[in-house]
Formats: sequence, structure tokens, C-alpha cells
Amino acid sequence: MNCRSAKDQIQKSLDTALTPGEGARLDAHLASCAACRQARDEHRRLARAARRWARPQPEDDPGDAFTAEVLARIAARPARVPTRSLVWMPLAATSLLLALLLRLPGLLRPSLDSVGIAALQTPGWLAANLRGVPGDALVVWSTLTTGVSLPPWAWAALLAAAVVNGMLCIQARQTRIQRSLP
Amino acid sequence: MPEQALGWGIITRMAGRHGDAARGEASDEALAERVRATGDVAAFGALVTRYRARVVALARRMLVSTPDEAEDVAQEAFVAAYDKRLLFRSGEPFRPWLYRIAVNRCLDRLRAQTRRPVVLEITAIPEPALAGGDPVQALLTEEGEHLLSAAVAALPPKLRAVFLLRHLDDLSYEEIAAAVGVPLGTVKTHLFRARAQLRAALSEYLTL
Repeated sequence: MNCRSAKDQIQKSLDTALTPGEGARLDAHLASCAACRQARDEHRRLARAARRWARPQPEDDPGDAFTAEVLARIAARPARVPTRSLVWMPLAATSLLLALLLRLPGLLRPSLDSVGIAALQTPGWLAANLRGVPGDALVVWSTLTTGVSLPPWAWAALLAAAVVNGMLCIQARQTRIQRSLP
Repeated sequence: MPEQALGWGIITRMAGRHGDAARGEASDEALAERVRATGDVAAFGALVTRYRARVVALARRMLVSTPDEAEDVAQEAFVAAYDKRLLFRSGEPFRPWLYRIAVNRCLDRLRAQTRRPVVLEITAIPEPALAGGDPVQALLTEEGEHLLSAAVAALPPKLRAVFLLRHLDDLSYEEIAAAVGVPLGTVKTHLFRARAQLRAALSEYLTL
């Protein structure tokens, strides 16, 4: 063991986080290294002083009035909507968005046909300009407006993707809540 | 009262902090589960009574430049804990969950204080008093404690939180990770870095 790794092991030893093997190797190093022995002694003193300074003292206990005040503040606030009742919202929003994406072009098609710019009857460059969409997006648009005929496995995959997306939304939201707990 | 006796008093009062089955006291987790499931305010009051000294102590040492705000921040933390009770998962340890809320409250308060930073004058501290030649005793004199708290206050807030949770209530690395919301490796890095900074700041005392 060198002095560099001994520094980490000394700190772990303060937290009783060393395995017996690591402890033995550290002891062997300390027996032959005065600088690391000095570091260990200083860290021990610091840990003892910090523990005695940080531990709650009698004056840190604000007494029963504090508990009463907290409970009074809870009672005085208007009832809040439990956070977990809202977790279905990302899933619902995702499903709705997916449904709209799949159905909207089909719903719009009659009106597009009526003005004579349906994808099947119009040159691609003209349709792109008329609809104000870039050329690459036209391919997707044309596919959708001509009707969505997907095999059953593709529908299942889309549904699974929507569910997974919804679950990820929920997890991200909960993580965000926990990270920013007031 | 001698310091040793004070320390034992606190330790004795905190002995039942996780509940004492022999005395018929419910564990923290059992109380928290009751609060989560039914919103039981009396059970929450028992948890507040168990933890108020530790949460106030944590807030005082985190907000070292404005300790007067500590009780208010601690109250806000408990009220927030009650509001977020549905996020407490059954089987989850209560202590780091509560500390996480308290730490976040303290960090919020510290962020709000950045507009009016308070600098503690470490250089104004007198030479270490040789209290019987014991460096730890020297650090526990009034001057020593001032120096220690000033050195802790100079730590970045997250390092300070990790350091305090380790020494204030002996949280394990895993509990600190849950309380501060950082990976286990980051806890070790923060803790080791905090100790290294403190050792450098207090070297005059520690090498006595």
C-alpha cells in the first residue's frame, strides 16, 4: 500500500468501513510510515471533535412548543391534493398525443382532398410548399394521410412504447419531486 | 453541567429514536407508514418529537451564519414532510427520508442567502488554547468551536451536508446517499474532501 491509497483507507477507517483485510494492510503501512500515522491521528482528532460539536445538544431541542407549532401549521393549511393522485397524467397525456398523431392526418384528409392537395394527387415539391413542411417530413406526412395500415405487431409495439414512455414520465416526475422537495 | 453529562443526556433521550419495542414504542417506519396511509397527525407529532432536536441541530449547523433561522427551516421541513407523506415508500427507512427533506430546505435557504453572503472571520480566532494539552479539548473550547464552525461553514453546502449527517447522527454512507440524493461514490468523495479541507483549516489545532 502506498501513501496515496492509505489516505483513503484512513478516512474509511474513521467510518468503520474497512474490511479486515484492508485494515491489516493499513496497519502494516502505518507501522512504517510516520507521515500517514500523523495524518491518521489528526483525522481521528478531527472526527472526535466534529462528532462532539455536531451532535444535538440540549439547547437544540426546541421543546414541545415546537411540535405543537408544526401540527398547528399543518392544521391551518388548506387541504392539498395528494401528490400521487396526479401520476396518471403523463401516461394519459402520452396516450392522447399518440392517438392524435395517428388519427389527425386521417381526420384532415377530406379537407385536404377538397382543396386538391392530397399527397397522392400532388407532386411532392408542391405539396411540401403548400403545407409548409420540409421535404423529409413529406414522406411521413404522405404515409399518414394515405391511411395508416400497420401490422398488428406494430400497433402492439406502439402501445408498448406509449406505456414505457408514460412510466418514464412518472419516474422522471417523481425523481424531480424528490430532488426538489421543499 | 459537565459536557460528558450533557452528551449522555442527549444520547439517552435519543436512544429510542427508532422506537423501542421493549417499551411498546412504535418504530419510525411504523409511525411513518401510519401517517402515509391515514394522515394520522398524532403519529406525525410523535415523529416530530423524536426528530426535532436533530433536525434543528442540522439546520443550525448548515445555516451557520444565520442560526436564528434554523427553527423556522426545521418547522418548514416537518410541514413539507407531512405534505409529501405519500412519497414515503413502505419499507423505506424513515430517517434518511426526513433528512433529505431537511437538507433540501437548508440548501434552498442557503441559495436564498447567496444575495447576502456572510463571511466568518477565521483569521479573527485567537491562538489555540492548550486545554490540558489535548487537541480535541482545545477544539471544544469556545474559540475552538468557533473555528470549527467557521471551517464547516466554508465548505460547499453539499459537502457540509454530507459531513454533518455523518457526524451529527452517524448515518451510513448509504443513508447519506439517500438523504442528499447523490450516488454512494459521491458521498465518499464529498466526505473525504470535506475532512481534508477541515484538516487543512484546523491544522494548527490538530497538530498540537
